[in-house]
Amino acid sequence: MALVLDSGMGGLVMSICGYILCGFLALLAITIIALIWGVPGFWGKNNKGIDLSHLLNEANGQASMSRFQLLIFTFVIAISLFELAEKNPKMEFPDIPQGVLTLLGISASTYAVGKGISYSQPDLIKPKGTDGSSDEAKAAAGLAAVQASAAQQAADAAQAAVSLVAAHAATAQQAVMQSAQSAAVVQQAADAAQAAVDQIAGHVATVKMAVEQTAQSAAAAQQAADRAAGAGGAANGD
Amino acid sequence: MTVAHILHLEVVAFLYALAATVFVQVLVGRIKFDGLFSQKGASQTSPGRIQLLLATLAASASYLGQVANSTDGKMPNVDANWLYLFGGSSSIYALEKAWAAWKARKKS
Repeated sequence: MALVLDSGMGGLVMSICGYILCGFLALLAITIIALIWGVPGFWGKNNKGIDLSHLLNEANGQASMSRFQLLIFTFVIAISLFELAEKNPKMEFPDIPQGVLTLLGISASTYAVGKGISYSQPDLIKPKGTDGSSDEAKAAAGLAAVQASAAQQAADAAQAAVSLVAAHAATAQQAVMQSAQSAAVVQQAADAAQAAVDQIAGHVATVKMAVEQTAQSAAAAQQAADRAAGAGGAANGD
Repeated sequence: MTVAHILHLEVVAFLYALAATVFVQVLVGRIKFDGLFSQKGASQTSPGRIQLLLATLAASASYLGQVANSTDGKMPNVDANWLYLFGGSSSIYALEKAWAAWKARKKS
């Protein structure tokens, strides 16, 4: 972590960047600590901060020894690293020995194995009901109440939709009935029109017969007139 | 004061502040320790957990002592005996946990 300050512009820029980085890290550290302690209104009205209450807990709410061990080792190694960096004349990070890495590996493996064993027992990872977790029970009850309210609203909306569908079905039924009635009326009108057409056809046939009879009568009259005319001529010749 | 010194002081201060925060929250009960010494689903104290805790505290104290006595700025290596101790302790803890889980599964 040795920063060589050159003279001139390059060194000045490096220094400024370095101080900006220092300021940023300081603000970040203060923010994290403040959020953990839940300083009121630090990060907005609805901010709940960083909750460490379940730092050591497993899924069922009980504290885990492997998590506690990993926490202790992490702090010990981190603090040792930075304390030894200060003692180093060059102010560099020291090389991390193999033994320390092995120790951290054993601790992390123990945590992973423990977690795997816990999660292989679904009934053991159910959150505890009564002892020592009243806050979790209240939160769970509140969540259940919210979900029940949402379910009730969904049921009410479904009921309203069913009623609306029933109303539409009744309207459609009435429309179908009216259409059927209208079809019956149309059918009656068609039947009446057909009867009228038949009557007209009958009248036309009657008229036709009358015309034919009239024509026959006219023909007979003509024949009679011709005969009469022939007879009169013959009488005059005598 | 150089930038490196300032950065170093900031990081060390943050680490100590975080450790103190965790420690104080443990003392006031905000970080829950319920069931730390008992096996899941049981109310009895577990010897495997006790020995793991003691081994952890002993190894941590020993290592911090070596770091405090170091003068050349090199990280002291962990003695092989400590590694054997930790390996055995963690194995006992894992085996006890697996045994308890197997017994619980057999009951159900």
